[in-house]
Amino acid sequence: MPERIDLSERLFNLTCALLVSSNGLSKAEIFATVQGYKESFRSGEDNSALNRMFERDKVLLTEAGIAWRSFIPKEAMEDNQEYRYLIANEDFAWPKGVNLNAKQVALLNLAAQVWAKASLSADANRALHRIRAMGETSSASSFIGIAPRIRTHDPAFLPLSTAIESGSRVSFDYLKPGETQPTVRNIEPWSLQNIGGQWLLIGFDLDRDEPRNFLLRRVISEIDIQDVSFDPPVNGEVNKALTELERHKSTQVAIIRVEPSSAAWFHFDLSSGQTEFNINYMDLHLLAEELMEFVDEIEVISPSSLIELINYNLERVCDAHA
Amino acid sequence: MPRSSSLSGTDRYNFMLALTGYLITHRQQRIEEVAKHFDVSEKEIRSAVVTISLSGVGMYRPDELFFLDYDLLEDGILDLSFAPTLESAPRLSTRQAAAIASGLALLLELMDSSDRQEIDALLSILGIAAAGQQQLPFMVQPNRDDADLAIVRQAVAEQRIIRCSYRNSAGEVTEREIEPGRLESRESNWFLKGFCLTNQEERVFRLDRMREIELSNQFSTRELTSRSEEGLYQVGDTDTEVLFEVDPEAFSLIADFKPEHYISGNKSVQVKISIGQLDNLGRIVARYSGKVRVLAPAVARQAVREFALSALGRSPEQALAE
Repeated sequence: MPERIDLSERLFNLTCALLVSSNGLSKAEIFATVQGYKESFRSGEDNSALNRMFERDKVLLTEAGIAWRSFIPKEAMEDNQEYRYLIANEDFAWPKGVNLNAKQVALLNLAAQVWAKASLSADANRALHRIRAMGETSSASSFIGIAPRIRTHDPAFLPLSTAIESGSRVSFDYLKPGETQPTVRNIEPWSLQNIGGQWLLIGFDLDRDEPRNFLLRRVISEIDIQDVSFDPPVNGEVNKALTELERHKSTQVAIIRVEPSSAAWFHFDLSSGQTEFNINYMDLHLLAEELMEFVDEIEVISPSSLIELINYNLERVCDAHA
Repeated sequence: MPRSSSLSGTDRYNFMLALTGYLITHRQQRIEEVAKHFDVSEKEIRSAVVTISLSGVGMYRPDELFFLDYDLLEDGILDLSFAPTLESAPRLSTRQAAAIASGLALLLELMDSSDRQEIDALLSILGIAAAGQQQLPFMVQPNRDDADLAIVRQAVAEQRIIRCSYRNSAGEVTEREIEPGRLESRESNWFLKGFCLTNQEERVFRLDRMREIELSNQFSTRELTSRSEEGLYQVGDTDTEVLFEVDPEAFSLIADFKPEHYISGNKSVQVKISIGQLDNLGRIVARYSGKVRVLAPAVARQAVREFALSALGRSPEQALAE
């Protein structure tokens, strides 16, 4: 009995096999020759378990960013239209001439640490392994003592990023603030963007027939990833949506009065003697939330909707602690 | 320090690809140096390199695809050669590139102009080095420049004493001298862990409560007692253990105050958190507008209610009369 080959070894063998074969390999050839497959391969018998394993492995390769190609050779006979698989070296290899210096490696290390313990830490670590494979070592770091962190406690983050990568439609329940019932949204997800600490999904809303933005924290169901694919947005669509958000923000202004030397006065960094300031906001509810911490030492001058919202929020806090 | 946990599954697959790319371009490396370079154990390296050398695919039998010099390995030297034409580390998957690029974007607000140029260069490298030339599935929009943050970051890097005016959570404003230790972020707030020379004690400072920050002399390294990375909030003897009920939209509270607490799913959870000063509890809870509820003890519930009532301009007595 051959020793059992584990997943990592099988994937590695499959990758090497597809990389070194100049004409590609058919499934039958893979099953017959690649360790991890060939031990279970029985020529002429039912190999459906191997087929399923191969389908899963192809997905794992794609997720690892190992781009394989499949094609039917031109010279194939009508009755022998079998796919062949290969990995092209230019798809696989780190691009030629793109080198990293020691300081850049130090920055990349620090960038990976941003995900410490968050959902992407495994991917960040895998990226570091590949970056270290280039050989450059990190410069003695002047970045010691800095630990910025990204948080992704939104359960929707990972499934949405998966759907974006595979270009799959999604649907989810979305609860807008002030509404009691969520609405089902059917979206072609384009991009997740973190703006001021909040994760936002930019995508095409199929029911409203236009691009829309969704705050991940307001997604209250699991993400249903559908088996319907879509073409990625044309170049620049995501940036257009981001610019539109920025424009929207610049038109929305709140005026706040604060007590000098209060925590709010410190927080919003007012100059000495200054007691009033303007603040632009993307979302009234997010602004209200930011202000709640200082609610006893500020006075909202405008808009009145913000005053009402803050009072409503305070009433809810009271009710919850009656 | 090489980590002790061992790699498995797709992590090990990823590592073997990276290690292969490294070893065939860096011949005759000492095993302990390679372990250090990749931040994994020597045992992990040994196991991976033996697996690599034994992989046989297609027309190559085991030992033919890769050649590992076992004599040198006995002396602790890795020498791996590869028969066909694979000569590089793998490029990054889009997800890996997005994770690193997001981290870099988050670092921007901390960096001086020369580091920013490096980051810009890296961001364009990541665009090239990601597989498939796809748009990155997620990204962080850099925050606006913050002069205070930049100067504190400089103080950390250069080990210089910070002089500033600080408003503590009790509302007292005092002049402080601080030996900065570690700069950490939580959601949108930055914290500085350091030694307060004014109070001769290790403290955690919130950057938005600092003003008129100046850099003073250099100091020699002091060993801070709380080395633990996530130890921003330390439990004191006089702390009150408060039982919270937290809706999914407010999970960031748990991420902030009890990062070791694992959260998943879309349902409200109950969690106990030690709180130093109940005076501040209202402020913390108000932020979540009823999506965080204090269940016990009664004195904590009362503190939250009183904060909300007083912010609404009502006294507790009035409220009782309603």
